[in-house]
Amino acid sequence: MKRRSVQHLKLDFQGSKEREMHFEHENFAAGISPFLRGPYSSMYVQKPWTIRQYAGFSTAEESNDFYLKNLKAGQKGLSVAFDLATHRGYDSDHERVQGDVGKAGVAIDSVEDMTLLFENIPLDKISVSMTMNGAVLPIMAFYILAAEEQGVNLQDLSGTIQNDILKEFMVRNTYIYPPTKSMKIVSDIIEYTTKKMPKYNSISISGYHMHEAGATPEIELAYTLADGLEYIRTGLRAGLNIDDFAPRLSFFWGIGMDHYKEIAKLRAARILWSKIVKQFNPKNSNSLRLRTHCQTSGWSLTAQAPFNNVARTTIEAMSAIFGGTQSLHTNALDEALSLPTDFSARIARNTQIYLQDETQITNTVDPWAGSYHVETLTEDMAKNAWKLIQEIENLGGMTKALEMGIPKLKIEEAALKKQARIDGNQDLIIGMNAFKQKNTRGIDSLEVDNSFVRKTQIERLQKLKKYRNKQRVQQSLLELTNCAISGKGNLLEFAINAGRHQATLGEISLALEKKFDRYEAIPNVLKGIYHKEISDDPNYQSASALVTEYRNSQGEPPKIFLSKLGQDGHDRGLKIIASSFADLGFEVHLGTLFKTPKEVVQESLQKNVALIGLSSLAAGHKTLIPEIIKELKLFNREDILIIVGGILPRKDQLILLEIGVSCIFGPGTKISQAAKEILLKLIQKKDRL
Amino acid sequence: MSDNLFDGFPEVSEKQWKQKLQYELNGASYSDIMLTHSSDDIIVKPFYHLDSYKQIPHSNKEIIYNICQAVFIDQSNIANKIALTAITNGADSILFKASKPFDINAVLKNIKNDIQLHFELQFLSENFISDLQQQTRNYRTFLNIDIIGNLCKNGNWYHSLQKDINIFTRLHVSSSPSATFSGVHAALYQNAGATIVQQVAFALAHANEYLNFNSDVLNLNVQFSIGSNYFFEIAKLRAFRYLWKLITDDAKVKSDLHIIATPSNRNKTLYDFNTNLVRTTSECMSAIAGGADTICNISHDSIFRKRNETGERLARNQNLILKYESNFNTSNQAVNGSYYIEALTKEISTKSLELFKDIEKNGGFLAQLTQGTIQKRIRDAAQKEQQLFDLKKITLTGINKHQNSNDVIKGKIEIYPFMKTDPRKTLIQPIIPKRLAEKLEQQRLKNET
Repeated sequence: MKRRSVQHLKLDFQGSKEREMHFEHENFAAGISPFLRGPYSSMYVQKPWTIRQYAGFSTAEESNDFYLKNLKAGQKGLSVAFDLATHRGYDSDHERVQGDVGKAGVAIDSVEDMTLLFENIPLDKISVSMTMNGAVLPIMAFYILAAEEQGVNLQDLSGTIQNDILKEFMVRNTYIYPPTKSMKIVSDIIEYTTKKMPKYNSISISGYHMHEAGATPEIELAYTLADGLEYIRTGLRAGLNIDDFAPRLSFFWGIGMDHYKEIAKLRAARILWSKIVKQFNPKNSNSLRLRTHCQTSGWSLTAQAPFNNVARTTIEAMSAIFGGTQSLHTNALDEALSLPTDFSARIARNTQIYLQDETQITNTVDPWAGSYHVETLTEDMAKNAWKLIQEIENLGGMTKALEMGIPKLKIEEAALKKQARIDGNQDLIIGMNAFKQKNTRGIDSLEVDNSFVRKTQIERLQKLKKYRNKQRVQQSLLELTNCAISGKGNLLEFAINAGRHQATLGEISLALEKKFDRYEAIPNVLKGIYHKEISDDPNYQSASALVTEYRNSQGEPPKIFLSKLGQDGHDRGLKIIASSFADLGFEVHLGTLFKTPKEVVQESLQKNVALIGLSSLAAGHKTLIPEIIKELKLFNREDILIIVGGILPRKDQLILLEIGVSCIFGPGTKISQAAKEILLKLIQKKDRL
Repeated sequence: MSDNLFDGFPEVSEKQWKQKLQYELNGASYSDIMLTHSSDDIIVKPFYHLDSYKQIPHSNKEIIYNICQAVFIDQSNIANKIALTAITNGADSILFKASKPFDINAVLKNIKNDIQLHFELQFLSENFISDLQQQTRNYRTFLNIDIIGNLCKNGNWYHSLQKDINIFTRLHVSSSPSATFSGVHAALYQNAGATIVQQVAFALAHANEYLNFNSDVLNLNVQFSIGSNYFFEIAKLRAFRYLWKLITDDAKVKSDLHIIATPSNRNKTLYDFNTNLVRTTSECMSAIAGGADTICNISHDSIFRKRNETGERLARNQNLILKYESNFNTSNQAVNGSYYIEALTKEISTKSLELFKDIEKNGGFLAQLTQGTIQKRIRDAAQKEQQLFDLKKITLTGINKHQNSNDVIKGKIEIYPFMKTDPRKTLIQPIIPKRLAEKLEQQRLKNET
């Protein structure tokens, strides 16, 4: 056979002129405003993103151990997670926080705890990032005092405090005071740090929690930037110069599964932020630069077949990186279930190490630039988010919009739609509503014994209160309250003074509460949205029919009181249950957040319900639910069925079922399925009576 | 604020950006710090810009990828069961591998004809393959008959040069229009350590031998192995697709090209083996974005465990998650227009075409295999890579970096995880796959008590 010659073959090139699409923004660069392609001009080529894994431990001592270990291994900064009681401004001995102390983070009651937390950690050298929003005043005060005790100058402190109160009202609910009062605190912190702590980032503006609460990427982007705009105005109103604080604002995004759209979100965010800040005429171009931390989505993880989560986290991490994040937390595969174990934490960390070291993706800036798909998504994302930002502006800015409850509603709506699409199998989640595995093997999970933590904290508090100068404490707290009343002076200065005289976190919070009040959000039940998305689903229809049947036979609809327990503010799940059950025909009474067992029972009796639905995430179901059952017995109302939803270890489930809980639903349960099960139990019980 | 989102900010030219980088380097060397050299001497720049955008023509065809499960046929009915389970759990393509003829009916029992079928036979039996062609007529079938691939792998023809070619030609002529008869098993090159340019060029030269058998139609399924170099792997598949079209158009041969991609074994590790789950995820993503038609993932524990339901499920789920949760379905279109990936595609295409021409000038793929030139090229590349690994310039997490000293594996090993050599006389030197981590793993295994 004669070989055909190939030597004449030539490649055919096309240049920019032949491009199929053009974009107005395509000639923006990295390192130059509006920073489309990255906040820095060489991005990861010289230095990759920072691997920053957030971890929570129950006590100051344990956390301190962990920090020292990591710092020894070369880590440059540390990240503090606080427990729920601290977030909500309660000392560990408060009756409301029995189940919350030591959950999801470290318990801090006083300067003493803070000093222990940072023992042998030079605060002038190590940057500290603290996730705190509600109780920012006492926490900042304690941190500053702990530094003072180490002999560190204020101007040498570096790090970040989250201090993003606006999103708390939208989604996360770890606020203490009403929006306007809370903004006064934010303002005082920005003012104080700008003047005295030049290396410190006074706010990390966070979309992550909106993402986790079910916001679409567009909503997350828009509302977070609108929050940022509000903080800038707050700083300016406090008399600060834009260039003195804008460069030290930073952002925090959650990264979901829609791979290319998430890349677009990060790119669009930088353009929009530049545009937003530009109207204030900064002289320093750093004021226009958006820097961000990212965390992969916890919401996208499944409790079923958790090893599937490794792929999810990888896909999300890659979006964050292609989008140009400055630091990243990758979730552990069991993060949907509990705190990570050493085993799962290692895989999560290795995910980032693999991406940095083995995939060569750090060699060029903004690798997806020019892609018609990604550029189109970027443009659409910017335009859609801009529209949403304008909506908020037209309402008078984010604080006003929040008081009207509009952003919260929009996010809840989005979450509800998404849930309906999953329940109706329109959106597939592998291993959960599609391609399910029959017998999944559980994995070992970590558990926190919070009664021990609580006891230790209470003992320490008692000792503190015994030996301090009571009069001075009272005097300093009074001065703080007076500052809140008069509006004169800086709240943080007075909080520091109170802390110096050994006032506790709870006392400082209460001193402000006297003037500011505690904020209570009125929960609303969205109607019709769930129904609209899922009405064709046969499961939904049969559940709905069963409700009708119940109503016909009993003469009234099934009545349910829904509540969360403890100080955990993650209410996405409960809100979804409330709205979907209402659409199914239940009479739903949704309790306000942060209830004690007694309050739950009281309200349930008032509303004369047949069912109590309780949601428990990090909070102590083991202590709080038995109390509810005890309380019901007192009133002789054991006929009321108790339903529990949330992530509960298997052995706890068995205990709860034994003491009288009727049904327990884990994550990923279909709502219609749960509703049917509950109704059948209820009918059974009525028949027996 | 004006409503035009993009007003009021300066456009930045490529030159300006580069100047800014140089300014920020403060006298340090731009080429040392900003440029990255690949093993094929492709230089990656710190940024790519519209100003010097170049691309080779791409296709606007959206590819909806198939998710494939490999099933080894030992007993026909068991293989059938494994395949059916895989299909129930989301596979829409099955790759049957066999070392001897099998009961075709039993293997295909109850498999619906919307399932794509692949075969990888380690033997060349005219009668059997002819039967197989008959009985798979109602499926979209890929027979992957690759006599040269077999030569590369085993060092010998199935029968002899002439007999292999005769059988190949006769069966090819009689193959049904719904079937793709020929395959090119290019995955072997990657797994043995060939560079990306080599893989593309060898696959072209390999396939070109079949083109020289003289026919006016040559539908082809090429099996590529995908490594961890994310964007290069995307560009690799695009470059091959483009070059193959260039060659077949020039030869006026009609050729339907199908690409099946599988994550590489070369970078998989015995220790910290769960990291393999992360590796295969990004590798499948590369494959999909690169435009592979079918993705056949490997289990994270496949180098040391026998096939098991859990491993196979996780591997399949990665592609299901990408398809249903991440909007990755038509991801091959996402690459179009990308400054960086299009530039890489162009670079890889240019260099691969050059090497392909060089092989052709020197007698073609078969001649160069017989001379041992192909093998030497691969060996040199593999050695170079191994040296870089030994020097820790290339790292594998958990192996030559971030070792977990508590990780023990000895008790878990079910199949021999290292390179197998079979010292028998062969016509040519076979091409043998080897993993980068083997040496270090063998040492660690020895020290496990």
